[in-house]
Amino acid sequence: MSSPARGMRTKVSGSRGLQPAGDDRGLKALAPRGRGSKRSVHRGVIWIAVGAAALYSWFAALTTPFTFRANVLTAIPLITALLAAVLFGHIVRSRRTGERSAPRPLGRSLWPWWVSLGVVGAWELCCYLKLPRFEHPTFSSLYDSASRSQPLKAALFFGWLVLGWAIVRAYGRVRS
Amino acid sequence: MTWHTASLGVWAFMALLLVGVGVTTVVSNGRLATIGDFGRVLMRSRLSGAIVLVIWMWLGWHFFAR
Repeated sequence: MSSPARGMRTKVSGSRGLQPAGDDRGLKALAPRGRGSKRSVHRGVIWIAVGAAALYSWFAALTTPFTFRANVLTAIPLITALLAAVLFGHIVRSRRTGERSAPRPLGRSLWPWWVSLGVVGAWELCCYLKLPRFEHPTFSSLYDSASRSQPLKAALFFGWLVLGWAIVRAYGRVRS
Repeated sequence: MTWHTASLGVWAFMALLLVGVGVTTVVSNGRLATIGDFGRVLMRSRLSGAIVLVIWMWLGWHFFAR
C-alpha cells in the first residue's frame, strides 16, 4: 500500500503535473528557453576557453626552448592535463558500478590508420638513423625550422593544447 | 636532386597520405574507422589511454621546452 505523499509525488511528476488540461502552454514556452540559455552559456564558456588557449599559445610561442619561461609555460598544461586525467579517471571509476559502459565503437576497420602510423614511424626512424640531419630531416628538425615563425609555432602549440583537451575529455568517459 | 629535397618530398607525401586516409575513412560509409573512431579505440582501455597521454606530454616537452 502506498503512502498519500508518494501518490501525490507521482501525480506531480507526470507530464502535465497539477496543471489543468490544455493549459500547459506556459510550460512549453519555458522549457526550450531554459535549455537554450544553458546551451548559450556553455557555448560562451567554450569560446572563452578557446580564446584563452589561443592567447596562452601566443605567449608560449614567444619563449625559447631550454629557458625557464619555456619550461614553465609548457609544464602548466602538462601538469593540468595530468591532474585532470587522474581526477576524471577516479570519478569514472567511482561511477562505473551505477552506469552503463560507453558503447563499444565499431566493427569498423582500423587498418588504414595502423598502416599510416607504421609508414610514418618507419620513415621517421629511417631519417633518424641517417646523418647528416640536413639531408635526412626528422619530424623534430622539420618542427625546428617551422618554429622560427612565431605564428606557426603558436598554431602548433594551440593544436597540442586541443589534442590534450581531447585526450583528457576521453578520460571522462565511462570505459567498458 | 639532393637528398634534402628527396626527404622533404617523402615528408610531403606522408602528410598527403594522412590527409587522404582521413578523407577516405570519412567517405567510406562507415566501413573504415575515422580518426575519431581510432582515437576512441586508443582511449578505450586504461593502459592505452595512459600511453597516449604520456606520448602527448613527451611531444609537448620535446617540442616546446627542450
